[in-house]
Amino acid sequence: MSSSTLNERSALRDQAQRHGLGARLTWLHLVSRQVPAALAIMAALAVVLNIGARLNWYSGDGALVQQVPVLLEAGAVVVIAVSTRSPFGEVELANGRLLPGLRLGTVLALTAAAMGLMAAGMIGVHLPDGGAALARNTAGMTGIGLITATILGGAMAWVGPVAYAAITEYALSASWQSPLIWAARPPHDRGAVLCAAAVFVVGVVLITVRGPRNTVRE
Amino acid sequence: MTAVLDRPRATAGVVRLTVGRLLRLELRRNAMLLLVPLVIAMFWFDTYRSSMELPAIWPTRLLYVQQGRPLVDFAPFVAGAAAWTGSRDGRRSTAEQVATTPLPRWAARLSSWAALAIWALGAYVLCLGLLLGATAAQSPTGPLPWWPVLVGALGVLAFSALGFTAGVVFPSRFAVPLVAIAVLLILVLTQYPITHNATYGLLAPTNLMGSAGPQAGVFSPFLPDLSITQILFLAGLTVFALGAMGLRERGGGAMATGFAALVTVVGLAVTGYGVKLAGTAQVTANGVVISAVHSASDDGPVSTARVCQGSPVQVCVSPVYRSYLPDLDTALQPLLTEVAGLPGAPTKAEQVVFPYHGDAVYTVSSLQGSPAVLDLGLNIGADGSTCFVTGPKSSTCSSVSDLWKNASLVKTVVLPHTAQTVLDSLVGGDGTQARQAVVDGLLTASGVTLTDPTAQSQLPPGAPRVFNPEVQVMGPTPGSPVAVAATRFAALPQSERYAWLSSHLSALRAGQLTTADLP
Repeated sequence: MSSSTLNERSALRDQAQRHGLGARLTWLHLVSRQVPAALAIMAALAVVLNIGARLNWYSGDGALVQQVPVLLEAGAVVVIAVSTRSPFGEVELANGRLLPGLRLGTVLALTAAAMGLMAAGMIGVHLPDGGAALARNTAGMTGIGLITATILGGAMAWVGPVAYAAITEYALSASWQSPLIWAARPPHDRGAVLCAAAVFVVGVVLITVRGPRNTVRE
Repeated sequence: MTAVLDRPRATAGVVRLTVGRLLRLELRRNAMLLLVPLVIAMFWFDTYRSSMELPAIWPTRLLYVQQGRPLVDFAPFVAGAAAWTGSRDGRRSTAEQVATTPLPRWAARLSSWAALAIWALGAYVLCLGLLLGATAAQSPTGPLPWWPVLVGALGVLAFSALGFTAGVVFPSRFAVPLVAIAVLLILVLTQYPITHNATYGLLAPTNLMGSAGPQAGVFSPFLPDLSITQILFLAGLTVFALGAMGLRERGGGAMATGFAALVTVVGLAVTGYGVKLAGTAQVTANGVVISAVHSASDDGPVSTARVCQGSPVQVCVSPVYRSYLPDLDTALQPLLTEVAGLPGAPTKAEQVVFPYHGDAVYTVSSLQGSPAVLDLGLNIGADGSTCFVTGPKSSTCSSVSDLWKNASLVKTVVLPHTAQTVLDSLVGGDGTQARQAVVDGLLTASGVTLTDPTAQSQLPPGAPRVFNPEVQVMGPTPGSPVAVAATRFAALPQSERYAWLSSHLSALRAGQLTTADLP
């Protein structure tokens, strides 16, 4: 066996180990953020969305038609926001060079999962404003949750989306039309989509670069 | 020996001291402290601003408080903070360590909950105090309904206890936000889908049917029956949640477990009693009556005093609504002048309670007694907004409370159906073409704009949709004998119309006249 063949094999083994380590690191990161539990909760919320439609929780033409779906979307969003909390605190910051990438990937994957699962919750039932509004509302509120996480910390990141959901409930009752309350606008309203997208981008950038705030309380 | 005998007393003293110290510590380092500014901001944004837009009449100003809006502002955050505090030992995996301390865990957790409840309740009292203080500074009229304020306070306590126990049972990072969202969802759902549930659904403090309305306590005493039932229900839930928390503790001994079980059972029993009471509820015009807690002294009128204005027929309102009297009188006098003194015509128009949970949007009216009195229910101060056609190609939108400050809109909302009530009773309505022509003529002469039945819509393109069929009165088909006679009759001088009516009213009622007989 020539030395070049040995070197080749060694390089391949190193590469495989690196891949294995990368996958393991990703998995450990996801587990530390309790992503499997988050996905299970989102799936449960999607089921509630479906059952709610069948029980006429949001049928008719009142404000409730939009309020209930928005609250369930907010439920999925708070799960994403709270999942940003690191159980390791500053220790992780000192060692994790790949951390921003992992945070970005986790947040994007969870947001996509929330949209997908909630969309799956619409199967066989009618959701007012459809999937486009669902995606817009979920993305926008996720942005709020991520911004809150960078300000208050991952554990308290739910406060922002819950406050926004409560304000949206009021806005829907009062027939507000501001694009900042995107859920109150039609699904393809450009201003509302831009606002929600901007907030989402800001939230994702902040959580990627800065991460959730580490507080003593946590 | 003395030392041994004294030990139980000393231990009890130490526990009391420790609980007190723990409470002080918890008060200083409580999660609710962080959220107090937020709940105050939410209250200001939602309840305070909305309430201050309503007239400075106590039951009207507290309409949103009656509808449980403060609880919607408070409860999600209070429950979330409570779940956060309750899940602390579980999240930090310190449950076993703290379980070895002399202080029973139930007592320690009750201290944590009490500190949170004190902050939450303090914030609630502060917010309501600001609303009541700002209203008091505007010299409000009417009685102040305290009961819904108490229900809100109990609601804050109940959601804090339920949230805390949820945190103890599910010490996960996701439990906290899910508790907050679940509470918001429950409050929103109980506000609408069971709005028309007149029994068990009334237990929800946000249920709209349970709200006595903007005239609560003005025309009859405020009925506290539902509030008492809600307080029982919420207090029961609070006790149950705290008791159930004690049942989870290990190491307190059989005595402690037994006491926790007793507390839980008492809580369940009180909650169940509240549910049972709600099952017997009856929604009336004056509020919800629940016979088991109803006091007969609440059935009589508060005061029959009225302030009156106008001639030839006086228009009278409750002193609480004195400021609306001039516009109301101006709106009604053209009609009352047309019929004053005729047999069966009203001798007085008097304000009565508006059926808040009924189908009417603005007014209800009926003629009662002999000599006839025109009873008027006016929807002054309710929430909502509406749009009106104000001309052939114009419309205006106004909040329901604001429209009562606008003389022309008062006329628009009060006159049409009131005039129909009076004239149908006086002349006989649609019985014959002659009667119809006289009614239409008098409506026109009184200032009611009759809607052309052949016109599709009077709204300009893009104008808001009309939400006020109540203010529209359908006129005769243009060019028909009835329309021609009505126009002719309306064009007469008022004195000639009145003289003809005085001499021909009996024949008109008896159906002996045709449109040709009309002047």
